[in-house]
Amino acid sequence: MMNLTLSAWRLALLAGAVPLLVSACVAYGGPATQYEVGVEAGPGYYEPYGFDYGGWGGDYRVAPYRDGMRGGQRGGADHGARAFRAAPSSRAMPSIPSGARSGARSGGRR
Amino acid sequence: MLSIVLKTRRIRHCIGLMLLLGLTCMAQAQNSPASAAPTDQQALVGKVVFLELVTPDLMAAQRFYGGLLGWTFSEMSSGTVKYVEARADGQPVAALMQKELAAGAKRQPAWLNFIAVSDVDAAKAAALHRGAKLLLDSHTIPHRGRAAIFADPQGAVFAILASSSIDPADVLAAPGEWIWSSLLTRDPDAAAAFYQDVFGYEVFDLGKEGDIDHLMLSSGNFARASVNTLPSSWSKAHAHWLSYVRVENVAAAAQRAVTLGGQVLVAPHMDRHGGMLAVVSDPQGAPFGLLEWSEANSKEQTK
Repeated sequence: MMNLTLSAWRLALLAGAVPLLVSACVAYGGPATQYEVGVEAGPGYYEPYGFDYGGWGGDYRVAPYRDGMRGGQRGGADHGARAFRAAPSSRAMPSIPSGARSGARSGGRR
Repeated sequence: MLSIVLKTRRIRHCIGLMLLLGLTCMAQAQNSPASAAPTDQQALVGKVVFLELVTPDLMAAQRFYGGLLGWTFSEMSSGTVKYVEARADGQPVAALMQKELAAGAKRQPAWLNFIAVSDVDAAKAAALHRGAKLLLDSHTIPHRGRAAIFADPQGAVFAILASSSIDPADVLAAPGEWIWSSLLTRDPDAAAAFYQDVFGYEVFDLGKEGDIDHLMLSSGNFARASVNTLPSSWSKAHAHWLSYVRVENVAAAAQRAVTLGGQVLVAPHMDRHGGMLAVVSDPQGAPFGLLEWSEANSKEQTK
């Protein structure tokens, strides 16, 4: 009976301890080397020189389409064949999302 | 006999309690935001969902972006790696990492755009098939998802990301959050075709202004980015992505950027569709845009 009792206690401890250890690893991201993968990407992050915006001035107009602005008239009719598949002219021109964020985000990040 | 029965019951209760405790801990761990498990939610493919800056001076970068945009930072360093998450009004907006930049290196910091995909391997295959160069193969970013980094056929660097949780919702960016991205490149038509093939974008042509093309990439019926021609006078520039933070007053923000040690690269001016726009750089040289936007601007045009 004593042996039976000890085995059962061991089983109980194991049943509780294994999920606890697993959950602890998941919650804290495991070993402390978690960002090394990103760091190894270093050469790709630093870009070559070439951000001299001096050539732009007032011609730099790249913002999304805004409702009601005539400057948003569709172009392309005189461009002939394009490398991309242009959206059908019947398609409404979309803008960026509207509406403020409600209390809950759909995801945890931006 | 009674004693044996009682002990057996006690043992069963104990096993049950321990199992319950363990399972509860597992459930809590899975619900933790920091350990979001992959879900079957649909990714917002084509949306820029995350930006990262590698900088040689993380403290200086925090002072600059905190002072300019009100961002706050959470320390996420690990080992020798200095890494912080930036938040705007409590919402995560970016990650910044410190990495040494060798003196004399012909390189500079730049914000890296992560574009959402549902399957990194499939998107990688599509990008490579269409001429992209793989800079960093598929890898896992803890608490973020699977990612890979490429240079497109014209050399613009971008990343793809299959989020490990749901992509951020399509809502209007609040001041201090990223609101727009543009790709500046030599051949906008070819670039648009590349990104359309990889991300399935719809492409809209907003018409030329002089020699400058203005194409727009859209997915999910939302504009995601523009593709614009690099000026011919800008012979040394290379193709690159540039993202924009929404601010309430571009002129004031640009001035503030200078005060904080940054530079104004393109002075505040009215965009073709209205609203002010500027390009600035942080003290370490990473460029980014500033854009004003009102809620009324976001409605779609019916042709």
